[in-house]
Amino acid sequence: MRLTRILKKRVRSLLHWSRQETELHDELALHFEQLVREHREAGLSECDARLAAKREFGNVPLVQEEARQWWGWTWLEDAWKDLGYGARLLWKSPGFTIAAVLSLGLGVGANTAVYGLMKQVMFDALPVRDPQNLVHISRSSLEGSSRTSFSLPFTRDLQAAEGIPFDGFLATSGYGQVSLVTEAGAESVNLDLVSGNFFELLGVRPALGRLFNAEDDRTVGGSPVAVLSYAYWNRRFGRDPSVLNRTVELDGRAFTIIGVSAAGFDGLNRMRTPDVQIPITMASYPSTQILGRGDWWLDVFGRVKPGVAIARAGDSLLPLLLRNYEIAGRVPKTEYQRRVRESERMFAIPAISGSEAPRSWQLALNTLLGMAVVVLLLACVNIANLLLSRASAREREQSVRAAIGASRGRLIRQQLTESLLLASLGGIAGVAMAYALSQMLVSIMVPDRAHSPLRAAPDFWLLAFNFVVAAAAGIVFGLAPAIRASRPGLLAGLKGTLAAGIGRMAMRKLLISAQIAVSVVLLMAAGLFARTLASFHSLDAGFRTDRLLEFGLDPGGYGPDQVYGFYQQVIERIATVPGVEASAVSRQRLMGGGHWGSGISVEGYTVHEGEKEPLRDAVSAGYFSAVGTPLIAGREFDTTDRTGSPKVAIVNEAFARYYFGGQNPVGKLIGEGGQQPNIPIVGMVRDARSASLREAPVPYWWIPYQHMQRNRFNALTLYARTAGDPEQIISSIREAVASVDRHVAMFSVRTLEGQLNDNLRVERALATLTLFFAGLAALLAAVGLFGVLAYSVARREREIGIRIALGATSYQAGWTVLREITIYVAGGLAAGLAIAWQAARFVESFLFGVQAKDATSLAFSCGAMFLIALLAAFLPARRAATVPPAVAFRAE
Amino acid sequence: MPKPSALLQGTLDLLILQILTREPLHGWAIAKRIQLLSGDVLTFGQGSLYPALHRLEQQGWIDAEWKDSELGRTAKFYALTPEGRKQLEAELESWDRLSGAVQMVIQKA
Repeated sequence: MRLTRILKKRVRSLLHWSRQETELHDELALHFEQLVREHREAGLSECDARLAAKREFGNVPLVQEEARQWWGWTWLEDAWKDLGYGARLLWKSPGFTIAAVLSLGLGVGANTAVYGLMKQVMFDALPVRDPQNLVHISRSSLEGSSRTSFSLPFTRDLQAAEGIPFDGFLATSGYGQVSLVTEAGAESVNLDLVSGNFFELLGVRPALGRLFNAEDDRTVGGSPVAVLSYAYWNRRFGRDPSVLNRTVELDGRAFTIIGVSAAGFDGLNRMRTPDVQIPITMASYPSTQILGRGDWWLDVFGRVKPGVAIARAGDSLLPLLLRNYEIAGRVPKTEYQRRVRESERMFAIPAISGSEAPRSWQLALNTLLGMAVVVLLLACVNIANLLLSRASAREREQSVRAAIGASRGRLIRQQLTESLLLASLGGIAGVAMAYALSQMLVSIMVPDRAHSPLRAAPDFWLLAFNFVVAAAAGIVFGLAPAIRASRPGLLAGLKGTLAAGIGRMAMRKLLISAQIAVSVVLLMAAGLFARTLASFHSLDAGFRTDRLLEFGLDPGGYGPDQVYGFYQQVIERIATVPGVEASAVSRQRLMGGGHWGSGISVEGYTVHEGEKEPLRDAVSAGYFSAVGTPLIAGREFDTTDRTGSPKVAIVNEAFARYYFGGQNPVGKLIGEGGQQPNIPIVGMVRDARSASLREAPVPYWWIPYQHMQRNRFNALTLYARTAGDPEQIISSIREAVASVDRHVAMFSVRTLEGQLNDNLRVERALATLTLFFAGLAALLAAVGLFGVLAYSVARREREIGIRIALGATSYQAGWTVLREITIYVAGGLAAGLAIAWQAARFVESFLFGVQAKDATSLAFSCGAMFLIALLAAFLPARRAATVPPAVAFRAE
Repeated sequence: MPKPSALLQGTLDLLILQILTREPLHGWAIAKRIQLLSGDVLTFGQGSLYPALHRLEQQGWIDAEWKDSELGRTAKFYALTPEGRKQLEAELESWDRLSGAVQMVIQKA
């Protein structure tokens, strides 16, 4: 009650400051006039009465001041004055202000941008009910860890299980890109499969219509219904409510749109967002596969009961997994299988922000954040340095203030206000910087902006983060100089002696050493990442990446018997497009990152259990010549290899080395795992990096795609080798595909070079940003070095003048100045070298084709830093060399 | 001129609160009343009354209002709030204790 009254009064006194001021004045005047009147009535003259009144009343301004103090806002008034004073000072030294605000803005902005992306990828809670209870289920055994695929029957086991600390389970699976056909034509959309209880368990509401329920995934093929994501509904249909109950063709089958999910919900994967979702039982896989206990294809998320420790929750699922194996009849028969079974574990991974970001992202973001923090610290050091030298210049002013009675706290406060003002300006510059930098980051790291939930624009919390960082930086760099400046030797300051500055110089030079050391480390990292990128670019992939176009097709509506005919027609039509030199298909997309392995049997070789399986693929005739992989021996698949023709296989050199000890494999027999080797090898091709550039070639085998086990996969990748720029003839190819079937959309249309660039996104982001940060750090160090030397020359001008007058050459004069800093620069370089040499192993996992302890990068970083330091030192040294000797004789 | 500190620290607050128990008064009247009631013994720089009034007001123990006064113009009248009344009781009690203790020391010493 009293508190609210006080609060009201305070606010009122703040809002009606000037009225209160007049009121106080009137009040005192009234009292004073009464006193005067009283004295006049007592017989004094007007003049004497006033004097007496003054004596009796006391010092009017002082009374006002004291009264005002109780209004509770004097600190604000003081702060306002300090702010005005600070602003004037900053305005008067624009060079200092611009340097400080820019370097702080860069430091803060870099942190905001990197943290912003990190926050979205790793920390932001999903817009679902109680996201903190959400977990991603995974399993591990000695055959592999963090496996997140489960079968539908097992998911149903989980959903039906009792006595476990979970409130429910949902399943989802990214289906990839499929064609969505409306009256307007075909286009490719991102399709996700979700369990019937998906939205209900997550607590996601419909923005329109209804979402799925438990009925929708009861029977295979039973519910041809689809839900659109809000973003897609907005992008594609302009939020037209009439999409409801419209029938569209998805993946070759008719679906009815029953609803749109809530705005802001982008699925459970931060790396890609679905456009359309359908029930898992509507996948175009054969029902044996959808319902197969041995088919692991679903991502399962659970909701742990409130209050249950997530770390232990996974353990309760292990018995269910083991029972699942029993039901499936998978009894371990050998010692190895028994050991695998015993090592099985189940885990519940917190999924507050969805499924975990890929490790490469996490590592890259952590590394970038680390660098951004370092750059920010360097910026702080620099500003502290600038402030220190300004503090020396202002020592006199501070002494005067202290002499006329300013308390030490008051002096510190005034300086802190100044640095906080600087920090706020830096924060504003930081926002602009953060915006530009995160635009750059997102566009470098995210290949498909339309299907990514990542945003470049900062949200409210990020802006708050930005300014908190700026303010913290302001306090960090402002406090030390403020405390130092607040205890000037009164006399020394007033006399203008600069003796006090000497000790300070040593400190500033040490800071320069630190800056140089850190810059060397960052430059080293930049060198390593740049070399990594370069070695990727110079790498021989094993096929020709230029002028090669690849795209996906998924004729979902085709039965197993028609699908080969479809592809054969497409290949033939594309081959006739002018400018196309060759075309072919494969199941595994080149550079797509995917792997297809299944067991192998090899004539004359015993495959051990747990031995690494070779990778495989199914391709069309002329595939190897189309993608440019040289044939070493035998022949490649041709038109005689077709449906029903004798089985044949092609292997790579690594396969021949591994299984045949380098002998010519042509004529030998191989087969699927667990079967008799009955497929003759007809050719051998050069080793290639098919899945990604990072992966060294492994044993690989190919069969004609017509010999692939039927009915499993309709989606294949098509390749077209072109005579000119592949981008130019995409539309002709589109027409060729449409002429075969206009209901099949092309998706993921890329040139292979584009795909390679996509795959190197994380590497490129690291190299670019590290170089940026390193450059920034070096620049900051250079500015610091320049500042110290320039200050030193100014201080020692007279001494240098005397030296020159006594016959020192200009070289010697310049050296006088350089000498005092050389040791610190050399020390910084040496420390940087030592740290870089040791710290390089932390980035080892990002490197490719270059050792962490890479002498070239190290030489580059030291050389670059040395050159930058030399440049920064040059101007002050030249000034020292050209000091006119007359300076020596001029009086101070 | 007697300094404001001639008045025991904190007693000015007590006097103001006590005087305001009867009716709302403006600053001039309060000063006059203190002078009168103390038989001209308690004098102080009259200006120092105002910081005290503003402090008491900001602490919520008295309220202020501009009203017509007997002086022929509007003046700022201060009135005791319920919280102020409680505060006065507390201060009176501690004053009693203090003066009693001083009295005791003087008598027994």
